[in-house]
Amino acid sequence: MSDPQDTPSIGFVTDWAASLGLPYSDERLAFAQQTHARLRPQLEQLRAVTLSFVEPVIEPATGNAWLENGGRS
Amino acid sequence: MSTPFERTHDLADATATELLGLYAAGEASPVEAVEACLTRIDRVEPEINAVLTNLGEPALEQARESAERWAAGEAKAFDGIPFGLKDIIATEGVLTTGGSALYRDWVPAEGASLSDRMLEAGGILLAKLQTYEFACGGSFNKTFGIVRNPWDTERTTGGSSSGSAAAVAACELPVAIGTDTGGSVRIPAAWCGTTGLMATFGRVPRHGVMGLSWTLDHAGPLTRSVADAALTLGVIAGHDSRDVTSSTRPLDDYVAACDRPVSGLRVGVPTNWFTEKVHPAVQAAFETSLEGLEAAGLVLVPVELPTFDLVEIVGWTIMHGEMSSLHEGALHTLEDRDAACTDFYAFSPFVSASDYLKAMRVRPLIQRDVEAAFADCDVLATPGAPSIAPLLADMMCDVGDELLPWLDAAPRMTLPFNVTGNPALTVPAGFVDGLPVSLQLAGRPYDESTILAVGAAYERVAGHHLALPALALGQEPAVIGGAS
Repeated sequence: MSDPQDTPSIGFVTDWAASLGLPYSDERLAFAQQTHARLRPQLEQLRAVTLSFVEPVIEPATGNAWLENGGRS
Repeated sequence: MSTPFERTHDLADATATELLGLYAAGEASPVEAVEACLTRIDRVEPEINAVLTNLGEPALEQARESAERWAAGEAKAFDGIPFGLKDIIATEGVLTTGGSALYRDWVPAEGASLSDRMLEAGGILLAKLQTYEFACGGSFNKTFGIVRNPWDTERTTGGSSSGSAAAVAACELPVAIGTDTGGSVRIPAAWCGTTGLMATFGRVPRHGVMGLSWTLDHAGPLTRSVADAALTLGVIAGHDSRDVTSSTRPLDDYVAACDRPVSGLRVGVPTNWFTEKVHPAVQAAFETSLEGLEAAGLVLVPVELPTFDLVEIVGWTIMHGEMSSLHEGALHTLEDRDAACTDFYAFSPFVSASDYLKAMRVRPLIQRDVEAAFADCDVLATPGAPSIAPLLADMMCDVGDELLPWLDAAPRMTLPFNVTGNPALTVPAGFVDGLPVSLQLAGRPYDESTILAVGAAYERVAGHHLALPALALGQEPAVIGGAS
């Protein structure tokens, strides 16, 4: 399970925004940080998915090829 | 062509298919249809605010030209049909704002593929329609105001194709085009009681459509019948080399598909994800719609979609990552946008490259899950939205045991098929507390015909698509209470 301490802090988000040259207001930075916190459990679930190293996956090519093949792998 | 439309009705209430029948029979003209739509716009627009640019004068000129083609026996597939476009769709020589002050004065020199195709097929562009800012803001558009749901003007249409849904529901015009990145055709269609179609990713070219997320964006019609959705898809679909993701696959005869037999087809009913955060009354309406499908001869089978607990984070991560890239030039001017758009974009630069790529690589796993489900069925059926339309005052969805912000609730039903790319159709499926609810049908890739056939069969059994809001009929709205 996620640890709230793993979520980027408001200070980290502020520094990150500054590094990107984004002049965000405090309100906007707080929203971005809150969104991180809200999505954190799902993000960790996503990060935990194990994917094959050798399977050729070049996205979105694989996804589009599946569609073009009528939904067959 | 036979038509059930009675001329005692206001011509604005006619569907596109009915209009074609009337034109062919010489019982109405495109000029009369456009005039009826303009009269309706004048009457209801103060209540709903769906129209950004009213093109009445040029539309009447186009209608006169269309009438001449009908008289000469030279009518085309979409001749004389008034239509509207979500204002993120470029139109040659016509203002295209993106719903944003940033593009308030932009007049494109070239039209989008789909808008050009509708015009070339004889369609009449009657209005550019409201949209959430750049298809990702909220109901409170800072520049162009609030769009209101014709069924209850205290409630949202949903979005982002807000004007498209409101205009079609209020019979300002019979056909509108919206765009759908996480449900932006199907959610407002569900909440406004219209039909909404998102074809397979790649089926409808997006050249000339302002992008939000290039691997999730689709364009598609909102209409008042499945037949009209099929008619419109046949006009706008097909390869365009200016959109490298557009498919070269041949098109089907989608109008004819609506009359295909469906008896014996198998309907997969998911036992997870789509059942987890749905208001009980909406779930009950969905179960009633399943009975309607059975009455049409279809067979229900349970299906499980084990990876769908990943589908939201995959979809949002991809969307935020791509929107950040597409709009990087405007991220410094966030405070000029409406509040919801600002918040949406505020988070997007903080999606990491590794998370974006992980989401992209997990996407095929979700597709394989859908593939496994389709091994045992021909269509998937889900509720079109988990609740009735929220009140504008709070934008919260009541899903039974909790209130959720609308963006946490509504896309649960729709975003999965943006992620997989499967086609999906929403059709009106009755009412809860006097407000529309919807049935969603998803199909195999490039098999729009089967979902159109099943949707049309359901329409014939249920008839919910025939209901119009009191606002459209010029009546006082009923007092609506109960859950939001």
